[in-house]
Amino acid sequence: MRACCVTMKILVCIKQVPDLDAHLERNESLTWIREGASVGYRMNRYDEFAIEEAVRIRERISGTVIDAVSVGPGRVLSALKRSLEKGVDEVFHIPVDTAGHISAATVSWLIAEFARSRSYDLIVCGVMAEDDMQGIVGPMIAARLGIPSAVSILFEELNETGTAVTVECEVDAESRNRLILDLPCLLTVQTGINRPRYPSLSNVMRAKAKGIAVIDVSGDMTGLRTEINYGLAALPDAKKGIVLNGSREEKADALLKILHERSLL
Amino acid sequence: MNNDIMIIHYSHGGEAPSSLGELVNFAAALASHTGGGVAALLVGTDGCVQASEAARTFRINTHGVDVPVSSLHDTQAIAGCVRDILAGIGVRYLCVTHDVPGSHLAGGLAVYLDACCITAVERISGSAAGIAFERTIMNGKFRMSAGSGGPRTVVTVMPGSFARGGGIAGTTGRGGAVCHQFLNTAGGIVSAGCIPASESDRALDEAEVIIAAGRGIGSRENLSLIRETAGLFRNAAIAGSRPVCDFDWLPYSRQVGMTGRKVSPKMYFACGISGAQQHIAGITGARFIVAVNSDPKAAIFSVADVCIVDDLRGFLPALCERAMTGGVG
Repeated sequence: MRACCVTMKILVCIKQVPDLDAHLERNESLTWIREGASVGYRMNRYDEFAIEEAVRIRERISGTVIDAVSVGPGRVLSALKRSLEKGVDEVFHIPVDTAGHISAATVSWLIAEFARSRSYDLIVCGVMAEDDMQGIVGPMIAARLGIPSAVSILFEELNETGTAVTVECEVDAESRNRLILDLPCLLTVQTGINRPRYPSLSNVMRAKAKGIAVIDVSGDMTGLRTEINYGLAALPDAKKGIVLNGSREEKADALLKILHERSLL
Repeated sequence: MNNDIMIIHYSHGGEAPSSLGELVNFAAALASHTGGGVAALLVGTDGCVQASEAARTFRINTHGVDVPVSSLHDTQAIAGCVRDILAGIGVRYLCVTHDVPGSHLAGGLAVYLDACCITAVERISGSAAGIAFERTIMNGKFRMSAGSGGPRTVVTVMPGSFARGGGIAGTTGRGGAVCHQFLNTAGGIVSAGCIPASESDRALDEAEVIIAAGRGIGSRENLSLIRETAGLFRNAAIAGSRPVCDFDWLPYSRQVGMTGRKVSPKMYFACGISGAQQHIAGITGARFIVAVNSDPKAAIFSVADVCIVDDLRGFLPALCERAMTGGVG
């Protein structure tokens, strides 16, 4: 366990994602999903693990400060409020004038420019986002800032002098790699590293009173290489195989018949 | 013919054995649109040997770089090395497997090379606007089509989306292999070794039938339904999706998916699994897939051979009861 002699400044990157269990439709330009009352938005589940890990570091190292940042339209304020409820100290909103798709290149550039002058010791992201599952925003932020990064970590321990962190990265279901990264660095956190807690009542009350800083990231993005969104196609409700119909017992019998025919039973 | 497409195959130890073959087939599909040629850069502890083998197997020009074990998982250093190797080679597209280390590599490469990055590509098509790279998003509800916004593009290829065998059409010659020296110019990361599993769990490798639980099982207690169903078969094992293992309902050695096991049983029975791409990537080797899910639009049905729209908590007991009483007739 690290001694409590060096404080840390941590940035957690938050993404807001739509509730994927809800009925989603395309917007009028067929380039993203339609915004509306029927679509709920929430914090990316992977980012909850990132916040929890940051909070655990603060519990080990008193004086640690945790910031959270999110890029998106006005609705992302609710995700930032949620991060306050989960224990983040200060939150920052980088607004963009679209409710549609925002490329990983754009998000990583904006967050890197935001973080560049703020002297974070550690930047923590979820391993990916639930909606597009890209997993590249974190690595792109690190590359833009020129700091070391490790992905899909399942363990971290800071050294006593606050100059390095030892992490264990998931390779596959059964093996991990251990890396030692100089600080400042960026980590993406895999699920299972911790068990995110529910917000405490005191944090919920604090979040209600807390303001959210709006950040205008200045800089020229015209040369940024981003993917061009040609549009979204709604995938048909097409089933590749046969669909078993009838009563529950009839479906069970039909499946058993197939399994017998294939000598699986 | 210009080799304007470069496969970057990163042997990090957790990649699927078929990943190089899939990248070659993806590159072949891309080349049919660009009209250019394909080369490969093989990165690993024996990258130069792999490059020679790939040159013979696929009859393409290859490059190899031998990475010291101490740097094999320093993905940023590898990205920097790849950037330096590519400095003298005119490449428009770089193709990387879409797994966690591959995404890490791709993100770094895109920044270092000032390239556009398009991820998790499952299909390619031509359009009036140019080549369209397609991926499913929102848990399989939509397919997004994207084009490159720059002269150079890093593409990550979703495992299982392209065939594993075959090769590049029109390549009849014998490819040459060039071996490069690994230079770590990144710094800031030291490898402290690999941590193997404390005990090996080979159940999913050895089972003919895998009964897998997703979040749809609702609670740890309902795993008994999965176990009871597995008991119907001669050689069956139970598995789970990532959330089921995150909940501690099953050990991670039983997790199937991109970050878990890649399985190839005779039958994979998906119970309450939505079918996110991350999970599908782990079952592309399954020979027969049965899926039960209460959501008729669940993405798992797009890959299942037999689809059952039902609540597994009612269906599995009925299945076991009918099997025990000889309900098939």
